[in-house]
Order: sequence, then structure tokens, then C-alpha cells
Amino acid sequence: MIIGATLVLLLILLLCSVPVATALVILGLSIGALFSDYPLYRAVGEITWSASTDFLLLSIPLFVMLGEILLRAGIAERTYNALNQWLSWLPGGLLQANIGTSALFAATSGSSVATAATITTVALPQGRRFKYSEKLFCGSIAAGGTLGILIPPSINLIVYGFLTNTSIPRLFLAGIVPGIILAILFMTCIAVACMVNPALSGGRQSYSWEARIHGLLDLIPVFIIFFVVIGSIYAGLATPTESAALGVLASLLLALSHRTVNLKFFQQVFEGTMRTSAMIMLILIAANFLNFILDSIGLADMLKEFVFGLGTSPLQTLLIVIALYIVLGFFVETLSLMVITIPIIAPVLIGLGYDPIWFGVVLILLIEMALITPPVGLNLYVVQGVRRTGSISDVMVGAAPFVVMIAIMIVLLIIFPNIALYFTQFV
Amino acid sequence: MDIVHKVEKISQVASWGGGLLLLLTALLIAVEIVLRKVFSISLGGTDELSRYALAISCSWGFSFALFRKSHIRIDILYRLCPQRLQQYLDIFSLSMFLIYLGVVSWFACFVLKTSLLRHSTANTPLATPLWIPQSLWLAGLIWFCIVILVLLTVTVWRQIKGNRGESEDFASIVTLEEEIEEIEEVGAKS
Repeated sequence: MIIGATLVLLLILLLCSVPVATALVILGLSIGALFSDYPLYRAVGEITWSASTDFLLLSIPLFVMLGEILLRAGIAERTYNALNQWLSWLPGGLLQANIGTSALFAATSGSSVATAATITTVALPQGRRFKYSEKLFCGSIAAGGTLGILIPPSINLIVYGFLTNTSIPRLFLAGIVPGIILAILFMTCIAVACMVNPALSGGRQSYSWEARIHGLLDLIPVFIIFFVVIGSIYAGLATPTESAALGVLASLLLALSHRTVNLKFFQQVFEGTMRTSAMIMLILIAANFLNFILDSIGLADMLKEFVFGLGTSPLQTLLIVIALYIVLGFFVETLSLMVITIPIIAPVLIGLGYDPIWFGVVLILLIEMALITPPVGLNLYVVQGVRRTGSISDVMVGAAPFVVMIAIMIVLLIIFPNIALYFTQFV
Repeated sequence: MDIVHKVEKISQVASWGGGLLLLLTALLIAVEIVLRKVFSISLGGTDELSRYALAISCSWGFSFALFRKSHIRIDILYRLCPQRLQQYLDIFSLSMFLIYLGVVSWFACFVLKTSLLRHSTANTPLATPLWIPQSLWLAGLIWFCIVILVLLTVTVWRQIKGNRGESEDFASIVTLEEEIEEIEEVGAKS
């Protein structure tokens, strides 16, 4: 009864296009008033204050700012050109650079829209010049953009960790190997496709070693920032929030060295950071309040009992959950999908004996899939939006092979959970 | 609609302030780590001050995100609706937003009042009187309420007068094209 009422109310609010954060709080206030004898709504001030001052959550705006600084300082262009020089010998040259740059970039940037749009702007003219298959070219950018949410530092993993009370350093560590394997799967997929059908690839470019070494000057700083952020967490030097602060400092120094810093630069960085982080924070604050209400009326426990009562095996339940995410992922924006479903679904699966860290990684893979599956795959539309010509279905077709790769990765993780979990035992 | 532009400008300036506050926080934390690890000196209180920075910058950033239409709305049905119905949905959404922020701000006042009455200080070496960060935070929330109220009033007023179309709208859902155009504009400038 309570579960049904909650779901129906949530659906109505969301379908009426009420902002997600607002929908969550209005839902919380309503079911608190309906199903609890206590005036739970009175706690909304305290709960908002405590979520707003959560030290862990500070890492989100700082990682967003780190990405904004790199983006506005033109680091994406430099990385793309340098990676292209290094990867051009592989079958599918520029396509490989698309995956590489997106992986490096989306890893640090808070906005997948900005990252995918920037990389499309930089890459597409080159792809056309060298006559690459436009379908696969666009698909590779859209798919590459999803890699960043698995490879740390990942804001999506922080969101998952916050909502499930899971250790962020362990989540980050668990994301690295599957993220790298997935990137290799993507690159292999491109290489094989280009060898089987050379028409997909474009004209080969060759670069002298001198140019490549020169390009390293642009690559090394990006890697340094990555290692500062990730290394400081694992070496025990810094918490995720502190490592984000170190990353902001490092990226600012890099931007200064390229002489791209002026007043306009800061204005863009600040505005970009604030609009993204204020949006994410409002949703998390709202989700936090809703969780409090759901806990108070015991909804998560009810759901757990309901699922246990079904008598399905843990694997069957997992497969149902995966199917649910794939279907919802067709229609619902990914951050909203996460904050709405995680508090309800994660406890059920963890109760069935699945590792919370492992499930976090699987969930992120499902979210990656949602970003490139029609009809609401955000990355597809961003690439198409920059491209402006042709049909969106080209991008969808081009991204399809990568959806299959993500599916393979999920299956691998189910069969060999240690791909994600092996390294987490060291933290 | 002059008042809307004024309110938007203030929100934009607030976002610069919030961004600057976050940047300074990041630098402070970074300096703290270096001092702590290399010279074994602790500044103390960095952690606490940065928490307040987060709360204050975000509460003042919400309204800017609203003007840039960043607060996510699910548009599956919205996109299928005729324009007139979309306008009603916009008004409904803003009203819900106002209820949410109204309730939060109201109870946030009690949080501040409690801190003032009990002379609450943070349970830390700094012993910051909590009313200082809390009142800045609350001011941001109240500003957000005012912004929502202004946008709601203007949108409803236009609806009544029926002069949609010729003027820009503040309440609708952002389309991806607008968002990408903005990114490209930024790219062209830099």
C-alpha cells in the first residue's frame, strides 16, 4: 500500500515535469504526512543543513571545478591532438583518439554534455577531413564520453557512495580496472571493425617521433593531475575531497602555464561550476531528506521483505534489477535515475548478499549504457547537436557496438566479481 | 520585464561569489595538506570552514542554476504536450519549487533561531558560533525563494495577459540545442 502510493505519487510528479529535486522533497513531505504519526517534516531544516555541510559532498563542486578549469583552458584540444599522434598507428587512428581523449576528459569533467560537445567540436572536422565513417566516428565519441563516469574521479560514484554510505576510496579503486578493461574493449572493437572493413577508417596520418615527443608536453600534465588526485587518495595522503582540492590547484597551475587565465576565464569557470554543482547538490539534499522519510516509515524494509517473499534467487533478482535499469535507462535522465532508484534498490541487493562496492560498479555500467541507448541517450543527442547534419539514427547505429561491449563487461563482472573487487582489499 | 533581469544579474553575481568561495576553499585545503604532510603543521579548522563554504555557495547558487535551467526536469511527457499545456506545467513546477523552498527556508529559520538561543558553537577547536554560517546560508535560501516567486509571478501574469511568444521565457525546460549553442559560444570566445 505504502510502496504503491509512493511510486504513483513519484510518477505523477515526475511526469508533470516537476524538477527532480522538488519532486523528491514534495514526495517525502506527503508520505511523511500520510504514513507517519510523527511530524517528520519539521526535520527538513536540520537535514538540509547537515547535508549542505557534508565534507564528502564538497568533493563534487571541486571535481566539477577541476573539469571546468581544464575545459576552459583548452586542454581538451591539446590532449586530443597529442593522443592522436600517439594512437594514429592503430587500426582506426582518430577513432582511437576519440576514445582515449573522452576517457581522460570525462574522467575529470563534471558535465558530460560539455565534455562530449567539446570533443565533438574538436574531433569531427578532422574525421571528415580524413574521410572516416561518420556513423562510427560519432558513435565512438558518444560511447567514449561514458567511460569517464566509471574511471575515477567519478562524480557518479561519489553520488552512489553518498546514497549507500559506501567508502568512496574503495569505490574509486573498484572502478579503475573495469574502466580500463572497458576502454580496451572499445578500442579493440574499433580496431577489429576497421580491419574487417577498412572503409570505416579514414586516411592514415603519420607523425614523426619529434612531433610525438613534443605532444607529450601536452599529455604529461593531464596524467599528473590524474595521479595527483587518485594517488593522493590511495597513498592515504588525502580524503576524496582533499584530493579534489589538490586537483583544482594542479589544474589551475596548468591553466596558468598555458596563459589562458584572465577575468573572463574565471567568470566562465565559476558560472559553469556553480550551475552544475548547485543542481547536483539540490538533488542530493532532496534525496537525503527523502531517504530520511523512507527510513522513518520503514519503506526500505518493507520492500526488502516483499522481494524476499517473492522467493526469487539472488541471481534472478539481480537480473530483474538489471533489466529494470536498462528499460528505465531508455527514458530517464541518468542522475535522476540514480538518486531515485539507489536508496530503494541497493539495500535489497545488499541484503541478498551482493557486495555494495561491486553493485556500485555494475550500476555505473548500466548508467553508461543508458547514456548511449535511444531514445533518451544524452550523449547521442549531444554529439548529434554539434554535428547538425544527417540523422540522429546515424549516431545511434554508430554507438550500438559499444552498447554490446558494455553488456559484455557487465556479464564479465557478474561472472568474475573480482575484476572490480580484487584491488579494493588493499584499502 | 526589468525586474527579472535585475534578479538574474544579482543571481549571476552571487554565482561568481560562490565560485570564488569554492576556489578559495580548494586552495586553502590544498595548502593545508601540503603544510600537514611536508611540514607537519596543522592550520586547524580548514575542514570546518570548508563545510560552511559548501553550504553558503550552494544556497546562493541555486537561483543561478534556475536561470540557466539547470535543475533537471523529466521531459518525456512535456515534449509531447502542446505549448499551452507546457506553460501550465511550467507554472505547476515553479509552484512546487516554491512550496519546497518555502518549507525548507521556514524550518531553516528555526535551525538558526535554535543556534542563536542556545549560543550554539561548533564542536571543534574553532568553536565557530553557528549563527554566522547559518545566517549566510539561510539568506541564500531566502533569495532563492524570492527568485522563484518573481519568476512565478511574471509567468502567471504573462499567462493571464496572453502575451507569450514575443518575449523570452524563463520557466520552460532547456532544450539540448540551447545548451550546446551556449557551449559553442563559450568556445568561440575563449
